[in-house]
Amino acid sequence: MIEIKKLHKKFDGKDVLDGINVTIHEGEQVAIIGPSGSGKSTFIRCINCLEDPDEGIIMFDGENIADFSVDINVHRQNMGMVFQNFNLFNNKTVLENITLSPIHIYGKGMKKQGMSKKQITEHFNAEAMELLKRIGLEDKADAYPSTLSGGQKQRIAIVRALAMKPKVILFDEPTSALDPEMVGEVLDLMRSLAKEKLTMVIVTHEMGFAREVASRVLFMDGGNIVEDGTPDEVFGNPKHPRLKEFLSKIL
Amino acid sequence: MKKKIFKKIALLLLLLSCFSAVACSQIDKSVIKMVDIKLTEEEYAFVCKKGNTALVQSMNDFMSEIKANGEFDALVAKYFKGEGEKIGYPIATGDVQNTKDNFVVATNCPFAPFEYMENDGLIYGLDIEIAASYAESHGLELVIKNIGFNDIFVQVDAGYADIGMAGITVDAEREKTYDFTEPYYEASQKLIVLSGNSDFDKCESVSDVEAMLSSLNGVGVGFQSATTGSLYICGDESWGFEGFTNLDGKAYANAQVAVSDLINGNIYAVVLDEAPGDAIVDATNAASSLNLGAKLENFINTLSNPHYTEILILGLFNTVKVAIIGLIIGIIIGTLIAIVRVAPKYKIIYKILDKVCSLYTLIFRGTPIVAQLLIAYYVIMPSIGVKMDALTVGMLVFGMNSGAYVSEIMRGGINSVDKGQMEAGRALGLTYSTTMLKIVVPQAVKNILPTLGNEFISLIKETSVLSFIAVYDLYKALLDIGMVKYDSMIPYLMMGVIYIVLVLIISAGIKIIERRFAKSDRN
Repeated sequence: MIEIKKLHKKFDGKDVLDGINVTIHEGEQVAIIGPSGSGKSTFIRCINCLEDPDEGIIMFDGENIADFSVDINVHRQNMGMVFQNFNLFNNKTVLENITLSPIHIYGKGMKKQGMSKKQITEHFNAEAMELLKRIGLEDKADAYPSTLSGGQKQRIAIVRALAMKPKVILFDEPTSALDPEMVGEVLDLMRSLAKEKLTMVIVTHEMGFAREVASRVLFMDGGNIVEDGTPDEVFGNPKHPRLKEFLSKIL
Repeated sequence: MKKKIFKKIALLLLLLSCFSAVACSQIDKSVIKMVDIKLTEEEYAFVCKKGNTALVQSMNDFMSEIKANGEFDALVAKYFKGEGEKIGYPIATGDVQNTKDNFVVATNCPFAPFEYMENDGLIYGLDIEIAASYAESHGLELVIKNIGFNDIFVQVDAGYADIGMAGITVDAEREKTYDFTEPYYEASQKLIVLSGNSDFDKCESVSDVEAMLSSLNGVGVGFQSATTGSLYICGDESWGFEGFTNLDGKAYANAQVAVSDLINGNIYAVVLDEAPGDAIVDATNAASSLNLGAKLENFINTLSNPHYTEILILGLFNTVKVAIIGLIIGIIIGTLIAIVRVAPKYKIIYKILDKVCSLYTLIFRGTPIVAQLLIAYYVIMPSIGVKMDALTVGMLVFGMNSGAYVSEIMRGGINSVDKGQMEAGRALGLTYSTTMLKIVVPQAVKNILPTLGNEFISLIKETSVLSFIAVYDLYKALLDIGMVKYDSMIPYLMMGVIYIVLVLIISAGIKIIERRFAKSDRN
């Protein structure tokens, strides 16, 4: 589904990503683990070109989205992203946060088919309310993000990504900024998405979660993927010395 | 909230009345007099755009006609000897386009008896009645613009006025750039000094006066800028004036300001045209003997005249209108510039736009707004042949000027918004500009609201330069009101009060808006 070849990224002349090659298949839940500074976050941000790769190819939907001439906005609609710091729109209500992008992007096509602005808004509002019900936050629809807890914000950020009906969602350390008691509610939601076979790429420090939920684990070190396998292989039988060292430190 | 404002205003008025009482008691009660010796020989004529021979010819024919049939002599008798009933005409305060169906006369009050205003708010004078008679006999609509003396020439040259009629002296330098009609009045310059000044009592001829002036050292002598008086003091070859290098020549926008400065003791004498000089000496002597109460009464009397109430309201309205519309245009331009300047520069078009924007900001922040107004109204508009009224030009220039300042404010505002907001929008597939306009800019505006309020306040105050392009703003309205009775003290103080009250109201408005923003987003 996503085919990455020889991906390079430099910051201030220093290689942060050093020629990554990896293919992510449909229906996979890929956890990316590794020590800090290993390039995990940069890698996931390069996948949807929030950071522009310096070199390399990212094939998605049959196009190389690392190429500047490709309209990246179209591909990002199919590639959701969840951030460490939630990044809910502060000036919009919870409901508006979820519906803004669908109305703006998918609404255009529906308008051409003869739907009125009001019908489009109602359609997406109803969809958003469904999503909010799923996470039990339908009563927060008209609240502003600043009134919510971190766990609530992150769950809303996840359903905001879901509202675009993406083919894949990228998670950039989704639980790192949360208070410990709120980590569970976010992981529960991600677990249920995994069960529905949504394609997910997750940068995480939650090793237990990675082992339980992921179908594949990538271990990154020094800007490259040094070990790639099932959770049982990576956690149960680590081969690379750096991975062994890493696991021994955190387990 | 409201009570607070009223308290502030009440306190302000109290302070002001104390101040004016003190100021009034300090004004020297000595009055002024004219030294009755003709210093120059000169002639008045009307001024037209260079090359407008049709109008010069037509006006010359008309003048010969009324001189032949006695109408001209009757007018002179009316204004110099008080024989017969004078007729006043309204002054154009709104914007008037110069068309072939009207006769736009540019003049400069007060210059009695050639042009001056009465309590009824109408303009009277020899020039004015000649203009009216000419317009009537040619089936044209008469439009009278009362502007600065300098501006008369500029407006005639730019085609905003057909003719300048303001007791304008024919001189060789002016004839190079403008066409004059045949002269219609012989005039001269005279000296005005304080009544207590006995330096000229023994003078009998021009040479006596000049000898006296030459013996003084470093004293200031005032004159109306761009008049013969200025050439007389500073020297001019074509007139044969040697000038007085020992004197400190001071140019004033009109005769009244020069005389006020004389009374306040800042200058030694004023050189003025004889006839208007006489009028101003009489009026000033009458006004300066008044106490504060009488001055206030004078002001209220003038204001109670519907014409002056109208120009005050018009001035206030124009001031607020230019500031508000200017700010709106400024916010739009400023936001666009700020967006371009913070945009990532991958595409060549953004690089070019960025250069254009920084040049724009440099030009509008690097020049005073007066220069921008003058250039826009007198240079750009006529040369590209666009007919646009002065008020619209004013709003556009203020908007463009403000845009340069708002762009810097807005850039700071945009940078203060968390980068994650932009990333989240882009990650959802929204374009850069959509995310900017829907997510980042609204949050930026909230952050910079207090600074935008300051910008609005400075705009309100800066609008006082609008009078440079003959727009009636608050400043110009109160200036005119001061001219009626030759007493500007109360009008000037009122000007200050009105501006402060405006600023207080705006500050209160900003606080209300800020509070509303805070309500919708607890942060």
